[in-house]
This record gives sequence, C-alpha cells and structure tokens, in this order.
Amino acid sequence: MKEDNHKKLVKFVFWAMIVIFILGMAVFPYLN
Amino acid sequence: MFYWIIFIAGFILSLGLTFLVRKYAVSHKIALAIPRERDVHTKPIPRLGGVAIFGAFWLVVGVLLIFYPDKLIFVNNKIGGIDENLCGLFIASAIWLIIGIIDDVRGLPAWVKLVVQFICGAVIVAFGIKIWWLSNPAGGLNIILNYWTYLLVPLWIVLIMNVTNWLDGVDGLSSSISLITLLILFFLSIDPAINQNATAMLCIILAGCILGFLPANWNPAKIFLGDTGSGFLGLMLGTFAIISGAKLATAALVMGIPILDTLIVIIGRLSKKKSIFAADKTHLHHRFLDAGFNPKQTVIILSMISLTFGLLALKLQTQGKMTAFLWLLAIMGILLVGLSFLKKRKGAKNEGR
Repeated sequence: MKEDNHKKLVKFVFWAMIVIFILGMAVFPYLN
Repeated sequence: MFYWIIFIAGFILSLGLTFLVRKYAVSHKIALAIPRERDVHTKPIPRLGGVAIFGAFWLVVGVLLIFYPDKLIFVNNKIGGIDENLCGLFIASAIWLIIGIIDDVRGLPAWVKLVVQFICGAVIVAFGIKIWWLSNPAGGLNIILNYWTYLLVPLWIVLIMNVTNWLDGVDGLSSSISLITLLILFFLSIDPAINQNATAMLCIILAGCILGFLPANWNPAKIFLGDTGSGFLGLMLGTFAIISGAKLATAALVMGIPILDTLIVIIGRLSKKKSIFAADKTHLHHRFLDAGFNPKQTVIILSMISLTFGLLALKLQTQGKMTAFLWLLAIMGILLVGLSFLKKRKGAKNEGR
C-alpha cells in the first residue's frame, strides 16, 4: 500500500514534467 | 525534399539491417548480453545494433557519393576522388567498427578501447577536421586555437564517445539523445547564417538510421547498440559538431546533462580512488531507476531536457548559451537532489513495510 503511494508520487512527478515541457514548448516561439 | 528522401532511405535500410543483424546474432548466439547485477535487462539480448546503423549510414552515403558527389563536399582536398574529411570519417568509424565488434563479441579491456578512441580522434584531425577557433564566451575576439586543435579534437571525440557509451545503460536512451542531437545539428546546419549543407546531409542520414533502429532498441529492447554502436554514434556526433566549422556549444548544450553526468561519475570514482572505468550504478539513469521511474519514463524525461536545451541553443547567441549552461547546471543539481529524495523515500517506505 505504502509503495503504491510512492509509485503515485513518481507518476505525478513524471506527468508534471511532461506538462511543464509542453507549456515550455507552447511559449517557446514567443521567447526573445 | 532531398533531405526527406535520404532520411527515409536511412530509416528503411536501418530498419531492415537491424532485423537481419538481430536474427543472425540470435541464431548464431554471438554477442549476446547476458544480464549482470548492474544491468536493467533480464534476458540475453544481442549487442550488435551498431553494425546495422554503421551499414545503413555508409550505404546511403555511398549511394549519395555515386549519384550526387557535389552534395558531400566539405573541403577542396580529395583522396581518390572522395572528400578528405569524409575519408577520415570513414576510416575512423571503420577502425571503431572492428574494435567495437571484437569488444561486443569477446570483450576488451577498457584501456584498449580508450587508446583506440584516441586513435579515432587522431585520424579525424589528421584528415583535416579541426577546430580553428572558438567563440569567446565573454564576447569580443574569437579564441584562435592554432596547434591546440590537435589535442582538443581527439579529447572532444573521446569525451563524446564515452558519453554515448555510458548513456547506453537504459533501453533507447543513447539512441534517443543521439537522435535529438543530430536533429538539432541538422537544423543548425541548414540555417542560412551557418549554411553547412554537407553536414546537414550527414546529420539527417544518421538521424534516419537511428530512427530505424529505435523501435528495436526501445524498452523492452530486442537489440542493443553495443560498444560498436554507442562508440560509432559518439564518433559521428563529436565529428559533426566540428566538421566545416565548430558547433561545439550547441552539441554540448543538447548533450549537456549526459556530459555533466559523465564528469560527475568520473570525479566520484576518482574521489573513491577507483578506476574511472570501474562499472557501477552511479549514472543519472541509474538514479532515475532507483528513485522509482521506469526505463521509458527515464528516457522520456532526459530526452525532453535535451530537446529543450537543443531548441534554446538554436535560438541563442554565444553569451546566451553561457547563461543556458548555468541553467543546465541548476537543472542537474535539482535532478540529483530530487532523485536522491525519492530514492530515500522509497527505501524508507520499503523498510516500513
């Protein structure tokens, strides 16, 4: 059960990184 | 359009050759990687993927040389009608192919491979692929290298060959990072301000070859690059970054995290008074796996970081790139701290069970 929590945290970190990357790519063309 | 054709040609040839090499290695039981304690895979997998990439790349280049020789001109000097730089690249990669196959099949001491890597670097510089100058990070006049190029080029080649080799610890990681680096170098080369069309040709052919190999190398891998492949990719990336004008900062930014990881591992091993070639599980990708990420997530995260810095490198001038290097250091620090926290948390949870 406790390890499931860790898996969930890792999964959350992974998807957070994906979202940050996609947002970064979305604003990238407007960077100076 | 022409770039698309050679890209697809490399892709299809590599896809076919990878299938054939894998079938041959499995049926003859040669160069099979038997799982060890530090390995991620759990069953024997053939290691000769590099042979397929090497074959596909040079076949496409060969056909291009026959039908469109004017597309691959780097310098005016020719040897047997072929561009001097391209001859050097072929000879160095052929030397590494032989050593790589021997290593993948029978195993070779690390020092022998290091010596051969230096020889490959020496061949590259001997055939006229040199770094004449570097952009001054502080602005102002460029730094002229003169004879230092004969030392710097082999050192750079050896560094990148080892980076791609050490990256090859998780299925698809080394090939993914190499693919991203090649695409970034391709877009940089076709930029009108840079205008290195021959370099762009080589980059896009090799990118196609890697893409053809990647489906078989992606987790769970059916074939590995082996030392033949990782060394070949390192040799090519290192050379493409300096051929017909240095693009070192761009290549170093795309491969920034793996390069930093390599330096950290070397310093770590030296501080423990161990050989720098003593294999262990201290690489960044091992830290990701220890923290609980799976191999696919590890490859995706590291590829996203490489792609981000690659795109930044395309957009930035020299001084901007120096700032990006500082960002790279910061991200490496955050990754190390975050992964160490997750690993400790995972360990504590397991103990508590």
